[in-house]
Amino acid sequence: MDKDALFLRMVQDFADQEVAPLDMDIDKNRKIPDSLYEKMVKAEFLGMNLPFEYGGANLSLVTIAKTLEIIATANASLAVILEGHMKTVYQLLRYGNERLLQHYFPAALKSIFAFSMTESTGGTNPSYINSTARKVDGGYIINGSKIMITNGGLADVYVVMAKDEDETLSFYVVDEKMAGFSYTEAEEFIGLTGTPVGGIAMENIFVPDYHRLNPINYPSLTIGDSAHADARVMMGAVLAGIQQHALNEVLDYAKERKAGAQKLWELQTIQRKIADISIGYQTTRLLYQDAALKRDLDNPEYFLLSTMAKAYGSRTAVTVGDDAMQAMGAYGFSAEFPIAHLIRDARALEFAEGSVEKMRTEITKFEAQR
Amino acid sequence: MKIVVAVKQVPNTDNVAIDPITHNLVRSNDNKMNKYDKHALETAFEIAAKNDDEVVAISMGPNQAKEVLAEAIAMGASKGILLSDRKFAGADTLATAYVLAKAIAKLTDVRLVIFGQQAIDADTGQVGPLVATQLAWPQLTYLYEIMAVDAEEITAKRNLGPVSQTITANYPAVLTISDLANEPRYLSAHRLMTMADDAIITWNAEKLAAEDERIGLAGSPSAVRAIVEPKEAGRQGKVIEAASAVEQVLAILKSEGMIR
Ligand SMILES: Cc1cc2nc3c(=O)[nH]c(=O)nc-3n(C[C@H](O)[C@H](O)[C@H](O)COP(=O)(O)OP(=O)(O)OC[C@H]3O[C@@H](n4cnc5c(N)ncnc54)[C@H](O)[C@@H]3O)c2cc1C
Repeated sequence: MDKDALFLRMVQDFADQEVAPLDMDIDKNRKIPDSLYEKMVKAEFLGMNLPFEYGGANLSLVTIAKTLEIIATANASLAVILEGHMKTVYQLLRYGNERLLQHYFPAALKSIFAFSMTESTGGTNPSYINSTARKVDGGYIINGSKIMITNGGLADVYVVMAKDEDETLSFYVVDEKMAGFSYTEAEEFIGLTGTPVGGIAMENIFVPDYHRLNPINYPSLTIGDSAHADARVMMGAVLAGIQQHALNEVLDYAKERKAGAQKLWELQTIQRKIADISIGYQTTRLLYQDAALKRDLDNPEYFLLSTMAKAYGSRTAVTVGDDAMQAMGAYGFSAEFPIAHLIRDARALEFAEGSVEKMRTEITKFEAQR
Repeated sequence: MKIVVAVKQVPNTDNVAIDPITHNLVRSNDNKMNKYDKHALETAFEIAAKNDDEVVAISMGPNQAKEVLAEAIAMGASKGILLSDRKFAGADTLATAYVLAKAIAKLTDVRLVIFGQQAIDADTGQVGPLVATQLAWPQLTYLYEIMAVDAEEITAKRNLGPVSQTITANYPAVLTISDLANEPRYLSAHRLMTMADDAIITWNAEKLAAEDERIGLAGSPSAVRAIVEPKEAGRQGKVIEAASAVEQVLAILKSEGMIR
C-alpha cells in the first residue's frame, strides 16, 4: 500500500476544501485566517518531518515537498509558513542534541519554529552580522537583533545565528519565553503577504549550553548552508505550486474566452505563452523532486540541485506569471484575478534563502571546483 | 463496546465510467473513500469518545480496498477488516449486505453499525438498511444530527427533505449518516505512517461461513440492464402567438412536467 499517496490525497482535499477558496482573501488581508491556521495545526501539518516519538509523521522530503507544491497551488503564503517551520526542524534534527530535542519537540506539533540569520548589516554577506554569543558559566549570553524572519512573530522557537568571541558564526536556540526576548516590527513585504515575516531583539538572553547547535554532526555542510539547502528544495516546490496555479488560471480563462471566432488558447501567440508556462512548471518540478530525492538518499549533490530549483524556479515563476497576465489580457491585470499576487509571491523567493545572484555564484563555484 | 463503520472505496471521479459490455462500473486505480463514509466515521469517533467505545472499520472489496481501511485507521479507527474473496465479485446490494451482516454478526459487543447514507458511485443508499434487515436490528437512516447517546439508547434526527424526524432506538442499531451531520476530520499522518502491519485483517467467504448461493453473482437478484446518460438538451426556442401566449406557455410547462 502506498501510504504516501494516501497522505497526499488528504493534502489535496485539504488544499481544495480549506485553502484554495481563501487564496484571494489571504493576499488581501495579509493574514492566514485563524480558523484555517487552527485546521492546519489540527491536521498535523507541523509534524511532517518530526520523528514518530514526538507524534510526527517522519515523511520523506520527496513527500513533504510534494505536499508543499499542493498547498502552494492553493496558496503560497501558507506553504511558506510550513517551509520555514520544517527547515528549522530539519536543522534541529541534524545539529541539535538529544536534550534540546526533548526540550522543544514535544510541543512542535502545535508550535511554529523559525530560522534567523539575516540582520540589517548582513543578508547575502552573513559575516557582517552583529549578534554575539558570549560564553558564560553553563551557557551563553546572546545579544543582537534579527530581521526578515519567516514566521517571525508567529513562531515560538527561533534558531539564531550569532558570532562567538572568536568570530565564528554559530547557531543557538532561543524562545519567546526567555528573559530579554522581544519582537520588533514586521516587514511590509508586497508578496507572500499571508506569511508573517518579522524581527526579534535579543538583550542579554541566557541560553544553556545544550541550546547551541553542533556543526560537527553533519560536517559536509555548514549549518547555514544546510538550512538553505532544505529551504531551497521546499521553495522549489512552492514555486512549482505557484506556476501550477498560474497555469490553471490561464487555461481556465483561455478555454472560455473567445478571440473572434476562436478560443484564446487556439491562437499561436497564446500557445507560445501556455507552452512556456507548462515547460517552466515541469522543469521546476523535476529540479525540486530530484533535489528532494537526493536529500532523502543523503547524496551531497542535493545542495546544488536545491539551489538550482530555487534559482531557476523563482525567476521562471515570475516569468510564468507575466506570461499568464499577458495571455489573459487586462483581466490578468485585475485584482479580481490572482495573477498579480502570484507574481508578487514568486518575486519574494528571488531573495529569501539567498538572492538569485548569490545562488548563481554558488552554482558556478560548485561546477568550477568539481 | 464496538462501533463498526462500513467504508467503501469508490472511483476518484465525478464522471463514473460504465463498462459497455458488463454494465458494471469501470474500476480504476485512482480511488478514494466514499465521502459519506467519512461522515459516518466522524459520527462514530464522536460517539466513541463519549462512551469509550472502539471504532472498527469494515469494507467489502478487492485487496486494494485496504487503502480505505488504512485511511479509516489513520482517521482514528483501531483496526480494519477487509471482506475479500473472488467469490464476492459481482455482488449487488443484497449480496453485499449479506456479507457485511455475516461479518458484523461475528463481532461481539457491537453497539452501533454506521454507514454513509449512500455511495457516490451507485447512489442506491440500500446497503445500510439491508444490513439492518438481515441482522434484524433497528435502523435510523439519513441522520443529520445525533442528539443523545446514553448507555441504553440513541436519539437522532433524520433528514427527509422537507421534513425531519426525531427517532430513538435501542442497541444494537444501524445508522446511516448524511453529509450534513458533521465535518469529518482529516487523517493523521502519524497514525497512517505508524499503523501496525496487522491492523487490517482479511476475512474470506470460508471464514464468514457464507452460503455460496447468497454471495457474488449467484446471490444478486438485481442486474443492471442498461445505464443511460441523460443527454444535454441544450437551449431550445419556440415562437408562440401573442394572443394565446399565456395558455400556450402553461400548456408546455404542464406537458414537460414542470408544473401540475
Ligand atoms: C519572504 C522572505 C523571507 C525571508 N525569510 C528569512 C528567514 O527566515 N531567515 C533569514 O535569516 N532571512 C530571511 N529572509 C532574508 C533573506 O535571506 C535576505 O533578504 C537575503 O539573504 C538577501 O539579503 P538582503 O535582503 O540583505 O540583500 P543584500 O545582501 O543587501 O543584497 C542586495 C543586492 O546585492 C546583491 N549582493 C549582495 N552581496 C553580494 C555578493 N557578495 N555577491 C553578489 N551579489 C551580492 C544581492 O544579490 C542583491 O541583489 C527572507 C526574505 C524574504 C524576502
